[in-house]
Amino acid sequence: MIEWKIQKSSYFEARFKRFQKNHPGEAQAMLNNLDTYLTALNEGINPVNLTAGFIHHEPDGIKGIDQKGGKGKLKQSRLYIYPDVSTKTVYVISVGDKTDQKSDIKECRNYIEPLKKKEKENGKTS
Amino acid sequence: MEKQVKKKYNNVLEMITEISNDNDFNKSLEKEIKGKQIAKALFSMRCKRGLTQAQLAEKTNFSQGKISKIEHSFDTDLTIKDLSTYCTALNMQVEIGFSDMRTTLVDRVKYHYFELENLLDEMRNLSKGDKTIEEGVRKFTAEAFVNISFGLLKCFHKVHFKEEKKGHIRVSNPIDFEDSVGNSKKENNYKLVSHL
Repeated sequence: MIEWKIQKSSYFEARFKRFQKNHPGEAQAMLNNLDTYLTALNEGINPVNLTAGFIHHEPDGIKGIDQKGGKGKLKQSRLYIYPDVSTKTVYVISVGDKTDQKSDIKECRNYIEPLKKKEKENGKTS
Repeated sequence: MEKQVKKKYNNVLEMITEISNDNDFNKSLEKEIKGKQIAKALFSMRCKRGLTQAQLAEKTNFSQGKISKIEHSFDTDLTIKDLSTYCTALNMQVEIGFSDMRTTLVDRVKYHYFELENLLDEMRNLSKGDKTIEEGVRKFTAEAFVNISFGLLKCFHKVHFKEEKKGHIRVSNPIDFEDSVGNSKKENNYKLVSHL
Protein backbone atom coordinates (compact mmCIF):
# COMPACT_ATOMS: atom_id res chain seq x y z
CA MET A 1 0.00 0.00 0.00
CA ILE A 2 1.29 3.47 -0.87
CA GLU A 3 1.85 5.57 2.23
CA TRP A 4 0.71 9.15 2.61
CA LYS A 5 3.39 11.83 2.26
CA ILE A 6 3.63 15.36 3.62
CA GLN A 7 4.40 18.50 1.66
CA LYS A 8 4.88 21.89 3.29
CA SER A 9 4.22 25.28 1.80
CA SER A 10 6.87 27.99 2.03
CA TYR A 11 4.23 30.12 3.77
CA PHE A 12 3.99 27.50 6.51
CA GLU A 13 7.74 27.30 6.83
CA ALA A 14 8.05 31.03 7.38
CA ARG A 15 5.19 31.17 9.85
CA PHE A 16 6.21 28.05 11.73
CA LYS A 17 9.64 29.41 12.68
CA ARG A 18 8.06 32.38 14.45
CA PHE A 19 5.21 30.34 15.95
CA GLN A 20 7.56 27.69 17.32
CA LYS A 21 9.64 30.37 19.04
CA ASN A 22 6.65 31.96 20.77
CA HIS A 23 4.50 28.86 21.39
CA PRO A 24 6.68 25.73 21.53
CA GLY A 25 4.14 23.74 23.58
CA GLU A 26 1.33 24.42 21.13
CA ALA A 27 3.59 23.68 18.14
CA GLN A 28 4.65 20.33 19.61
CA ALA A 29 1.09 19.30 20.48
CA MET A 30 -0.22 20.16 17.00
CA LEU A 31 2.62 18.34 15.26
CA ASN A 32 2.02 15.27 17.40
CA ASN A 33 -1.66 15.41 16.45
CA LEU A 34 -0.67 15.74 12.80
CA ASP A 35 1.40 12.58 13.20
CA THR A 36 -1.63 10.81 14.72
CA TYR A 37 -3.73 12.02 11.78
CA LEU A 38 -1.16 10.68 9.33
CA THR A 39 -1.01 7.33 11.13
CA ALA A 40 -4.78 7.01 10.75
CA LEU A 41 -4.62 7.89 7.03
CA ASN A 42 -1.96 5.22 6.56
CA GLU A 43 -4.36 2.74 8.15
CA GLY A 44 -6.60 3.35 5.14
CA ILE A 45 -9.13 5.70 6.72
CA ASN A 46 -10.62 8.24 4.34
CA PRO A 47 -10.05 11.87 5.47
CA VAL A 48 -13.80 12.47 5.16
CA ASN A 49 -14.49 9.82 7.80
CA LEU A 50 -11.67 10.88 10.06
CA THR A 51 -13.20 12.78 12.95
CA ALA A 52 -11.56 13.58 16.26
CA GLY A 53 -11.62 16.30 18.86
CA PHE A 54 -8.42 17.83 17.53
CA ILE A 55 -9.57 17.94 13.89
CA HIS A 56 -11.67 20.90 12.76
CA HIS A 57 -13.33 20.70 9.37
CA GLU A 58 -12.95 23.98 7.48
CA PRO A 59 -14.32 24.88 4.02
CA ASP A 60 -13.07 23.20 0.81
CA GLY A 61 -11.78 20.12 2.61
CA ILE A 62 -9.24 22.10 4.64
CA LYS A 63 -8.61 20.73 8.14
CA GLY A 64 -7.46 22.62 11.19
CA ILE A 65 -5.46 20.54 13.65
CA ASP A 66 -5.48 21.95 17.17
CA GLN A 67 -3.28 21.63 20.28
CA LYS A 68 -5.49 19.20 22.29
CA GLY A 69 -3.58 16.60 24.27
CA GLY A 70 -0.58 18.85 24.81
CA LYS A 71 1.03 19.46 28.18
CA GLY A 72 -0.14 22.37 30.36
CA LYS A 73 -2.45 25.25 29.59
CA LEU A 74 -2.06 25.92 25.91
CA LYS A 75 -3.35 28.71 23.70
CA GLN A 76 -6.01 27.87 21.08
CA SER A 77 -3.97 27.25 17.93
CA ARG A 78 -4.43 25.76 14.49
CA LEU A 79 -2.25 23.91 12.01
CA TYR A 80 -3.94 24.07 8.61
CA ILE A 81 -3.64 21.12 6.31
CA TYR A 82 -5.24 19.78 3.15
CA PRO A 83 -5.38 16.02 2.55
CA ASP A 84 -5.32 15.29 -1.20
CA VAL A 85 -6.69 11.77 -1.67
CA SER A 86 -5.73 11.54 -5.35
CA THR A 87 -2.00 12.00 -4.68
CA LYS A 88 -2.03 10.74 -1.09
CA THR A 89 -0.40 13.95 0.05
CA VAL A 90 -1.11 16.01 3.15
CA TYR A 91 -0.30 19.64 2.35
CA VAL A 92 0.78 21.56 5.44
CA ILE A 93 -0.19 25.10 4.58
CA SER A 94 -0.27 27.38 7.59
CA VAL A 95 -0.04 27.66 11.36
CA GLY A 96 -1.29 30.28 13.76
CA ASP A 97 -3.51 31.12 16.70
CA LYS A 98 -7.25 31.71 16.65
CA THR A 99 -6.82 35.45 15.97
CA ASP A 100 -5.27 34.73 12.56
CA GLN A 101 -7.89 32.12 11.64
CA LYS A 102 -9.62 34.15 8.91
CA SER A 103 -6.48 35.14 7.07
CA ASP A 104 -4.99 31.65 7.49
CA ILE A 105 -8.03 29.98 5.94
CA LYS A 106 -7.94 32.49 3.09
CA GLU A 107 -4.30 31.65 2.46
CA CYS A 108 -5.16 27.93 2.51
CA ARG A 109 -7.96 28.39 -0.02
CA ASN A 110 -5.62 30.24 -2.36
CA TYR A 111 -3.00 27.54 -1.95
CA ILE A 112 -5.31 24.64 -2.73
CA GLU A 113 -7.08 26.30 -5.67
CA PRO A 114 -4.61 24.95 -8.28
CA LEU A 115 -4.56 21.57 -6.51
CA LYS A 116 -8.33 21.34 -6.73
CA LYS A 117 -8.22 22.25 -10.44
CA LYS A 118 -5.68 19.50 -11.04
CA GLU A 119 -7.84 17.06 -9.07
CA LYS A 120 -10.84 17.93 -11.26
CA GLU A 121 -8.82 17.55 -14.48
CA ASN A 122 -7.49 14.18 -13.35
CA GLY A 123 -11.01 13.14 -12.44
CA LYS A 124 -12.22 13.98 -15.94
CA THR A 125 -9.43 12.17 -17.75
CA SER A 126 -9.50 9.03 -15.61
CA MET B 1 0.45 32.52 -6.68
CA GLU B 2 2.96 31.36 -4.09
CA LYS B 3 5.68 29.09 -5.38
CA GLN B 4 5.12 25.68 -3.81
CA VAL B 5 7.97 23.74 -2.23
CA LYS B 6 7.91 20.39 -4.00
CA LYS B 7 9.78 18.11 -1.59
CA LYS B 8 7.65 15.40 0.00
CA TYR B 9 8.34 13.92 3.42
CA ASN B 10 7.54 10.49 4.82
CA ASN B 11 6.64 11.74 8.26
CA VAL B 12 6.29 14.79 10.51
CA LEU B 13 9.70 14.42 12.15
CA GLU B 14 11.44 14.33 8.81
CA MET B 15 9.73 17.58 7.80
CA ILE B 16 10.32 19.41 11.08
CA THR B 17 13.98 18.54 11.48
CA GLU B 18 14.53 20.24 8.15
CA ILE B 19 12.77 23.46 9.19
CA SER B 20 13.64 23.72 12.87
CA ASN B 21 17.13 24.40 14.21
CA ASP B 22 15.94 24.09 17.79
CA ASN B 23 17.41 20.76 18.86
CA ASP B 24 15.60 20.68 22.20
CA PHE B 25 12.26 21.16 20.45
CA ASN B 26 13.06 18.50 17.85
CA LYS B 27 14.15 15.98 20.50
CA SER B 28 11.08 16.65 22.64
CA LEU B 29 8.78 16.21 19.62
CA GLU B 30 10.53 12.98 18.65
CA LYS B 31 10.16 11.69 22.21
CA GLU B 32 6.44 12.47 22.17
CA ILE B 33 5.73 10.98 18.75
CA LYS B 34 7.75 7.82 19.34
CA GLY B 35 6.47 7.46 22.90
CA LYS B 36 2.79 7.48 21.91
CA GLN B 37 2.73 4.71 19.33
CA ILE B 38 0.10 2.63 21.16
CA ALA B 39 -2.21 5.61 21.63
CA LYS B 40 -1.95 6.41 17.93
CA ALA B 41 -2.78 2.81 17.03
CA LEU B 42 -5.81 2.88 19.34
CA PHE B 43 -7.03 6.12 17.77
CA SER B 44 -6.72 4.63 14.27
CA MET B 45 -8.60 1.48 15.26
CA ARG B 46 -11.47 3.50 16.74
CA CYS B 47 -11.70 5.72 13.64
CA LYS B 48 -11.58 2.68 11.36
CA ARG B 49 -14.67 1.34 13.08
CA GLY B 50 -16.39 4.69 12.67
CA LEU B 51 -16.86 5.18 16.40
CA THR B 52 -16.73 8.49 18.23
CA GLN B 53 -15.10 8.80 21.62
CA ALA B 54 -18.57 9.09 23.18
CA GLN B 55 -19.76 5.87 21.51
CA LEU B 56 -16.68 3.98 22.64
CA ALA B 57 -17.07 5.42 26.14
CA GLU B 58 -20.53 3.90 26.26
CA LYS B 59 -19.22 0.49 25.17
CA THR B 60 -16.37 0.48 27.68
CA ASN B 61 -18.19 2.11 30.60
CA PHE B 62 -15.38 4.68 30.62
CA SER B 63 -16.06 8.40 30.53
CA GLN B 64 -15.34 10.23 27.27
CA GLY B 65 -12.59 12.08 29.10
CA LYS B 66 -10.93 8.79 29.97
CA ILE B 67 -11.03 7.66 26.31
CA SER B 68 -9.45 10.97 25.32
CA LYS B 69 -6.79 10.56 28.03
CA ILE B 70 -5.94 7.05 26.82
CA GLU B 71 -5.62 8.30 23.24
CA HIS B 72 -3.12 10.96 24.31
CA SER B 73 -1.14 8.84 26.79
CA PHE B 74 2.48 7.86 26.54
CA ASP B 75 2.90 4.10 26.03
CA THR B 76 4.56 3.77 29.43
CA ASP B 77 1.58 5.33 31.22
CA LEU B 78 -1.04 2.96 29.82
CA THR B 79 -2.28 0.06 31.93
CA ILE B 80 -2.95 -3.40 30.51
CA LYS B 81 -6.42 -3.26 32.04
CA ASP B 82 -7.33 -0.04 30.16
CA LEU B 83 -5.81 -1.36 26.96
CA SER B 84 -7.71 -4.60 27.25
CA THR B 85 -11.05 -2.86 27.95
CA TYR B 86 -10.52 -0.42 25.08
CA CYS B 87 -9.58 -3.16 22.61
CA THR B 88 -12.30 -5.61 23.68
CA ALA B 89 -14.89 -2.93 22.91
CA LEU B 90 -13.43 -2.73 19.40
CA ASN B 91 -13.52 -6.52 19.11
CA MET B 92 -9.75 -6.64 19.17
CA GLN B 93 -7.36 -8.70 21.22
CA VAL B 94 -4.28 -7.28 22.95
CA GLU B 95 -1.22 -9.24 21.93
CA ILE B 96 1.94 -8.93 24.00
CA GLY B 97 5.34 -10.08 22.85
CA PHE B 98 8.68 -10.27 24.59
CA SER B 99 12.03 -10.11 22.91
CA ASP B 100 15.65 -10.10 23.93
CA MET B 101 17.16 -6.60 23.94
CA ARG B 102 19.88 -7.85 21.62
CA THR B 103 17.34 -8.92 18.98
CA THR B 104 18.13 -7.40 15.61
CA LEU B 105 15.86 -6.79 12.61
CA VAL B 106 17.42 -9.82 10.93
CA ASP B 107 16.43 -11.96 13.93
CA ARG B 108 12.88 -10.66 13.69
CA VAL B 109 12.61 -11.51 9.99
CA LYS B 110 13.87 -15.00 10.78
CA TYR B 111 11.44 -15.32 13.70
CA HIS B 112 8.47 -14.34 11.52
CA TYR B 113 9.57 -16.74 8.82
CA PHE B 114 9.57 -19.69 11.25
CA GLU B 115 6.35 -18.49 12.85
CA LEU B 116 4.72 -18.42 9.41
CA GLU B 117 5.89 -21.94 8.71
CA ASN B 118 4.50 -23.11 12.07
CA LEU B 119 1.13 -21.46 11.45
CA LEU B 120 0.81 -23.02 8.01
CA ASP B 121 1.70 -26.42 9.50
CA GLU B 122 -0.91 -25.90 12.22
CA MET B 123 -3.50 -25.04 9.58
CA ARG B 124 -2.58 -28.13 7.55
CA ASN B 125 -2.86 -30.39 10.61
CA LEU B 126 -6.26 -28.96 11.50
CA SER B 127 -7.59 -29.61 8.02
CA LYS B 128 -6.55 -33.29 7.96
CA GLY B 129 -9.46 -35.59 7.29
CA ASP B 130 -11.72 -33.05 5.60
CA LYS B 131 -11.13 -33.05 1.84
CA THR B 132 -12.80 -29.66 1.25
CA ILE B 133 -10.82 -27.90 3.97
CA GLU B 134 -7.63 -29.68 2.88
CA GLU B 135 -8.16 -28.34 -0.62
CA GLY B 136 -8.83 -24.86 0.76
CA VAL B 137 -5.64 -24.96 2.84
CA ARG B 138 -3.67 -26.16 -0.19
CA LYS B 139 -4.98 -23.26 -2.28
CA PHE B 140 -4.33 -20.78 0.53
CA THR B 141 -0.76 -22.04 0.97
CA ALA B 142 -0.14 -21.67 -2.75
CA GLU B 143 -1.59 -18.16 -2.68
CA ALA B 144 0.51 -17.25 0.37
CA PHE B 145 3.59 -18.59 -1.38
CA VAL B 146 2.99 -16.38 -4.43
CA ASN B 147 2.15 -13.28 -2.39
CA ILE B 148 5.09 -13.65 0.01
CA SER B 149 7.51 -14.38 -2.81
CA PHE B 150 6.23 -11.37 -4.73
CA GLY B 151 6.53 -9.18 -1.64
CA LEU B 152 10.07 -10.37 -0.97
CA LEU B 153 11.00 -9.79 -4.58
CA LYS B 154 9.75 -6.20 -4.29
CA CYS B 155 11.88 -5.74 -1.16
CA PHE B 156 14.83 -7.26 -2.97
CA HIS B 157 14.49 -4.77 -5.81
CA LYS B 158 14.47 -1.90 -3.32
CA VAL B 159 17.79 -2.96 -1.83
CA HIS B 160 20.60 -0.85 -3.22
CA PHE B 161 23.75 -2.79 -3.72
CA LYS B 162 26.96 -0.86 -3.50
CA GLU B 163 28.70 -0.90 -6.83
CA GLU B 164 32.34 -1.76 -6.72
CA LYS B 165 34.33 1.37 -7.51
CA LYS B 166 36.97 0.63 -10.10
CA GLY B 167 39.82 3.07 -10.75
CA HIS B 168 41.64 3.35 -14.00
CA ILE B 169 44.72 1.70 -12.59
CA ARG B 170 44.83 -1.10 -10.05
CA VAL B 171 48.09 -1.70 -8.24
CA SER B 172 48.38 -5.30 -7.17
CA ASN B 173 51.19 -7.14 -5.39
CA PRO B 174 53.85 -8.26 -7.86
CA ILE B 175 53.73 -11.89 -8.76
CA ASP B 176 57.14 -13.24 -7.92
CA PHE B 177 58.01 -16.41 -9.79
CA GLU B 178 60.30 -17.66 -7.06
CA ASP B 179 57.72 -17.04 -4.37
CA SER B 180 54.91 -18.71 -6.24
CA VAL B 181 57.01 -21.75 -7.14
CA GLY B 182 58.34 -21.86 -3.60
CA ASN B 183 54.80 -21.71 -2.16
CA SER B 184 53.51 -24.45 -4.41
CA LYS B 185 56.51 -26.61 -3.50
CA LYS B 186 55.75 -25.98 0.18
CA GLU B 187 52.10 -26.87 -0.40
CA ASN B 188 53.07 -30.08 -2.19
CA ASN B 189 55.40 -30.94 0.66
CA TYR B 190 52.59 -30.33 3.10
CA LYS B 191 50.26 -32.52 1.06
CA LEU B 192 52.87 -35.25 0.99
CA VAL B 193 53.43 -34.99 4.73
CA SER B 194 49.71 -35.09 5.43
CA HIS B 195 49.26 -38.11 3.17
CA LEU B 196 52.05 -39.88 4.93
